[in-house]
Amino acid sequence: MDFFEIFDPLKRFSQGEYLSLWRYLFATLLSGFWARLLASFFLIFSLWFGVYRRRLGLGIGFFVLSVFIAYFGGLMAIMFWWWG
Amino acid sequence: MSKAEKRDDVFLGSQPNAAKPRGLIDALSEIQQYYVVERTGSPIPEDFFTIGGKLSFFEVGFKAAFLSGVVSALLLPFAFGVFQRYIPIFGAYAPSFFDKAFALTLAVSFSVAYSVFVAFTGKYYIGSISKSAIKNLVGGFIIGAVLKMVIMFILFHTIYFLILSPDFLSRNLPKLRPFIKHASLERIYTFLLGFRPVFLSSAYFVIFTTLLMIGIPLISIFISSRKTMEAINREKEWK
Repeated sequence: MDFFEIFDPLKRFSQGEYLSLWRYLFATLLSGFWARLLASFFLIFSLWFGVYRRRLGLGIGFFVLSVFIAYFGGLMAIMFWWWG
Repeated sequence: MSKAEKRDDVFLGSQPNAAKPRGLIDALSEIQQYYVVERTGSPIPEDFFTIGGKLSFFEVGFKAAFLSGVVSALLLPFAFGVFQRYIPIFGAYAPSFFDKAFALTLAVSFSVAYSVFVAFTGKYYIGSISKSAIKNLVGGFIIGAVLKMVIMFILFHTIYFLILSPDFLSRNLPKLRPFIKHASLERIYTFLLGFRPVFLSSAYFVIFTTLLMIGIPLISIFISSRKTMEAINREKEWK
């Protein structure tokens, strides 16, 4: 197997399976109840570590995760619309 | 070597200077050290805090306010976009009350968290060196926050009046025609025109968040420094 083929997911899944995996992730982690819960926890962790425990790096990391979960779900919805 | 000889020894050395903080944590640690030394009654000469030292505290405050403010300001159009149902949050275009509150909290929290962080210095605002360090840190923080406000205000107005104007869009969007279908371009044009007012609201909300950013450390320093002074006076009375 060629070195670059190791990183190619389409060698292991069909395109349909690969897309449905992302759709599943979007439906479970990036939208609805779990997304709200995770994003809220990450924002609380960000403030807890960043401000209270004075660990800025960890605080910023959790903040980025919170922003990612809040808005990436919408971005994926747009991408799914774009791909049809 | 006899005792008499030892007494005559002369040691040549230079007075240590204040360390230059590289980040907010360093600055806070330095201020804590000055506070501990000054509170125990050990005198620190005025020249200990050099102009370079003062400038480095100013720089740390400036960078913290500017960068955290820019992150917050860039998240504001997203938050207002969620309110106006142009930007989906948690994958949905119809936000609940929680979603709206979360979007706004997310946009404001980054700069407010930095302000609270700077506000921790309030309790150490007692001796001359600690005061000088805090004044420079907070001075840099205020200047950075105001500069960020001016830049973001101008940027959001430029986006509203120039980049997202119907004239500019109708001239430049067709250039994407080789890559994007005509129907999609029309949808993008309609979306951008609808989204446009969000930038004006964001420009004025940036002023509010900047006032919040500046107000939190100033009020906290005023209140906590008085509390620390009261505690020190009580300790003196007991002794």
